[in-house]
Amino acid sequence: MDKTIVAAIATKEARIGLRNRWFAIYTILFSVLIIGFVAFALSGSNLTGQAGFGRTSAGLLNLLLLMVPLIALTIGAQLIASERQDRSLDYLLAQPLTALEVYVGKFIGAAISLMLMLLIGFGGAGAVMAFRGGAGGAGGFLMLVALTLMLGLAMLSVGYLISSFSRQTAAALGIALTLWLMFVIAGDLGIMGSSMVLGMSPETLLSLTALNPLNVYKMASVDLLHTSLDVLGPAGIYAVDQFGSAFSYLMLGLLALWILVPLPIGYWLFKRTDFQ
Amino acid sequence: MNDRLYSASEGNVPAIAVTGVSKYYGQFPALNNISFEIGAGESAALWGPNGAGKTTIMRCLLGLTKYQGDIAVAGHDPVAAGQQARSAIGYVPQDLPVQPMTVGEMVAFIAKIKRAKLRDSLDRLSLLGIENQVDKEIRALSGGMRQRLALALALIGNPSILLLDEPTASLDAKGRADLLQLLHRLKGQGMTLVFSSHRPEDVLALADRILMLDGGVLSEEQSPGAFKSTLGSQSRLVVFLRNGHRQVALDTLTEIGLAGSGEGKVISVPIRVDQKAEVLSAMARNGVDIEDFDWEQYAWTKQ
Repeated sequence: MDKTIVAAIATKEARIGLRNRWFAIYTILFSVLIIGFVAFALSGSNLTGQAGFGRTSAGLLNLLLLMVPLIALTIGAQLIASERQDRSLDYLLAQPLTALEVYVGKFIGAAISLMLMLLIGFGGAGAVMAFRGGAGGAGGFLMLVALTLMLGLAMLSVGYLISSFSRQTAAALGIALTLWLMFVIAGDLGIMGSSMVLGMSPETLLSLTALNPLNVYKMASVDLLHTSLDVLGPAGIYAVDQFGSAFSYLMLGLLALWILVPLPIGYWLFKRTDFQ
Repeated sequence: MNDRLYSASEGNVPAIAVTGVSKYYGQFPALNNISFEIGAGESAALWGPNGAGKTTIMRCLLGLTKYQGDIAVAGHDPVAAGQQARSAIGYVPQDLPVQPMTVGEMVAFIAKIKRAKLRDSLDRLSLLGIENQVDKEIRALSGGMRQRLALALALIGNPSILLLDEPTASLDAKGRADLLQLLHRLKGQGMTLVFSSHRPEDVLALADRILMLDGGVLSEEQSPGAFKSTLGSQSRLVVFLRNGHRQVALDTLTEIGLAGSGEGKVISVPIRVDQKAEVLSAMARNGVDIEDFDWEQYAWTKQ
């Protein structure tokens, strides 16, 4: 794999991503919501310093859990499918480069534009928090930012996998939105319902929870923000009992796996797919 | 440019060798046991109706699709050694994908992935007469300009083979003439040309050999002369006249050995592909007032 070619493709992809109208829409939407939430949360309390950051960061979790996967999944799902549809992928692959260089370069480029989008929103929110609540607790906020970037990359990776085998953008987006709904709704409610009906052990419950990257992100965030994992129910209590201080690393590792595992599977599908 | 710049292969290795290639999409045979060779410096046209397999052959040569059989491009297998095979090819698609980039950005990108110098790559724009478009967005270019850009991009990195998919389809008459002239020049410098076209004039102007495709089968290979006679009377010229000029027009046709027919202001005459200018000139000479004309082709394959 030639790094110069990968860098050229990544740069082009990031440039195209930044010029895409969806980038502007998503960035504005994300920034407005996150900054609005932070401003509203802070104005509703008289807390300052660390408490301001810490509580607001924890409150942000639910908003981020909905928005970031939706944005990242839909961006990822369009990456290859849209170029396959308008034949620009054929044109790129007709050049003297390898499919792996194209696959890696496009992902890196999209990851750069996604991270930039999230950092613009977080930057605005951080500025509001710093201005309104002092600088205390910024570490927790930065940790949340880092975790959210990981969640974004994981969802981008899953969306990219969907794009790898999709012929049409609409189909890829349909699969991505269904998956998002499953992660957001069926993830929590489904596990909760199943555990009640089937009488699952906390161990099984934790394993199932770990299968949903959103739950992994939630558990890692709650743990890192030093909130009690009791709020996550039996699975959380079991996790603390079993893993103690290693729990955070376990969750970070799982989130990293959600970033890394879909990529080779997606590449295999990308190489295998042969449309007319 | 120098007299002979391009050399597709070493020794006697053909620029392109296709042996027993078949391609199925499900049960549908897009290509069925096709074999041909194109020598270095040769110019070959892929001729046939839509769905004949022209684009599929190009996709196979570029290694964009899997196939059964063997292909060698400048001695390299497009699937197993795709990068080397594609290094020898400059590809001109029918429509250059429109991306939110300027012409200069696109040239810089292609130069990078072809490991070519930016200055040399920008010179390709001058060759095509679009050097003043460098800051323009690709989407803002006209069809003709975009096609020139596609050719300029294909020429970056000095490939020895040009693969062109309907290169003149979106061009006006002048654009077509300019492009054909340039391609002719490249051919003269030793570049191997493989192109598909729906226009017999383009084929006759450029091709040394014509590969006749129909239903995924290579039905025949022809020389330009044979191709011309195959097309024979397979085209028709329709001429729209001012009132009162029909009889003079029909008499003119008889004068030059053609049999036309018509009603009112319209006459139609079966002609050879290369006879359009002759008919129109004869009518103009005899004072026939022509409002407009149309030319249509009847069939793609040998009758």
